[in-house]
Amino acid sequence: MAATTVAAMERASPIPAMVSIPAGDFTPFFQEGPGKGSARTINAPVRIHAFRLDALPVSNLQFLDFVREHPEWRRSRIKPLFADHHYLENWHSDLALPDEKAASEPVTNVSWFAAEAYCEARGLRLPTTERWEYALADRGRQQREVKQQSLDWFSRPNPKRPGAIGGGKANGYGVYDLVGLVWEWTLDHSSFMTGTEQRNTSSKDDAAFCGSGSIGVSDATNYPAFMRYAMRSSLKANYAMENVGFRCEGDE
Amino acid sequence: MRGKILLAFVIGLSTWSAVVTAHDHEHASHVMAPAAPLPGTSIYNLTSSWTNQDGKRINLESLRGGPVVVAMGYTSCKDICAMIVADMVAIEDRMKKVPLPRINFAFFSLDSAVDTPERLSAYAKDHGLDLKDWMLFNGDDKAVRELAAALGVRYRRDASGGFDHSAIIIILDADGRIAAQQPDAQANTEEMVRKISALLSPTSH
Repeated sequence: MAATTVAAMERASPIPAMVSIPAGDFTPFFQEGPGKGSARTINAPVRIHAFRLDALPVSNLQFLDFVREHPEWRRSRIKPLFADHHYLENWHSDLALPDEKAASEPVTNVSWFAAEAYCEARGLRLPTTERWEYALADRGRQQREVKQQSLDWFSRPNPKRPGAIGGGKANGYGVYDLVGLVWEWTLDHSSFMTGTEQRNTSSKDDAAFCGSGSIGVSDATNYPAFMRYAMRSSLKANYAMENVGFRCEGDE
Repeated sequence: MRGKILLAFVIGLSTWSAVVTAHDHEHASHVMAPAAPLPGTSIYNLTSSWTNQDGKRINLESLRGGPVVVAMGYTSCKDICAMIVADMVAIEDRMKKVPLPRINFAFFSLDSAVDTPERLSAYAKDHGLDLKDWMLFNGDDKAVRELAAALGVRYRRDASGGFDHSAIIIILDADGRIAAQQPDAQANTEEMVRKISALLSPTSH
């Protein structure tokens, strides 16, 4: 059921639910400064262990199955601690999608707490930002296209509906829709702290950090990466937004 | 630990019911009834379990019953974390001088692996924390992640094995709702004491 979306059914071979992402070295976009007792230097790659990632963002249909089995995550029962009042507001009701088309569209208006609960129910978790970015980096394959696709996406106004998942091309790992459909929650979405990212707090909060706080970036010309990190860090865990969905990650 | 929480609760109740009794005797019995459902915004809706400095497992809801002053940090942190704790102690000292029920202070560690109950207990001793009203907690990664998300504490492991994290002091009301949040660098003891006192004063309800 998982990958049996309309788009997938039209293909010769169905998209697998999850794909393997092999281990490798990766230079994270955000870098720690070589501050206080840290021996690390800027642009040092980190080792990423092999993991599995959902080939597609989670669909409305999949999320519907989840709330059917876990009533506490239904729209009418959700506690405001876990999701704001926009939670699943695009659905017709607790257990009804707005229409048939929605089944193959990515679920949106879900909070970080709800996304985490969904993944956990499948024995999975949300991907860390580092692993999500590693999947997007795709060993350097097609990176110019990915960048251009991102820029095109940013320049379009948000459509009313995100469109069907799996409609585009898979990357080298077999992962679809990392860019161009919805933004995606990551496990540690809020952990990259710079002054400009604290947009939800008062400007006085610049003093409110413990630690080196000196963060640099590996490629200052990478505008789409800035956008992704800024977007993630502007989210609070109970936000349910019309352009934010998610996918899950598991151990290899 | 449960005893301490219960004690604080009973003291809170006695003040509360004395006032309630004066107004409406019938309602006083409701105070003793089983607790009402948690408000939807209560932090105590998180079901993750924590272990305190005595090695006892507790769930967050057991903190219910009175205001709690909360912070997240880690014990091997040398600079700002010590300041947060010092600022919390300042609030504690100041609160002891006013004729109000005792309140609780909770320090939740971000460092699941290092801050074992033994370590937390030693930290409390080293910093002269009064374990009559202080509790220090260790939780697994998931517990830490969810509590930090709910409290708005951002954190990230740094290259030296420590954490970069928001240094904020949070006041929870008796039901675990966030009543006030203050960046530590601007900790204003008097203001925090005023906010806690307001929570403890029945007329504010």
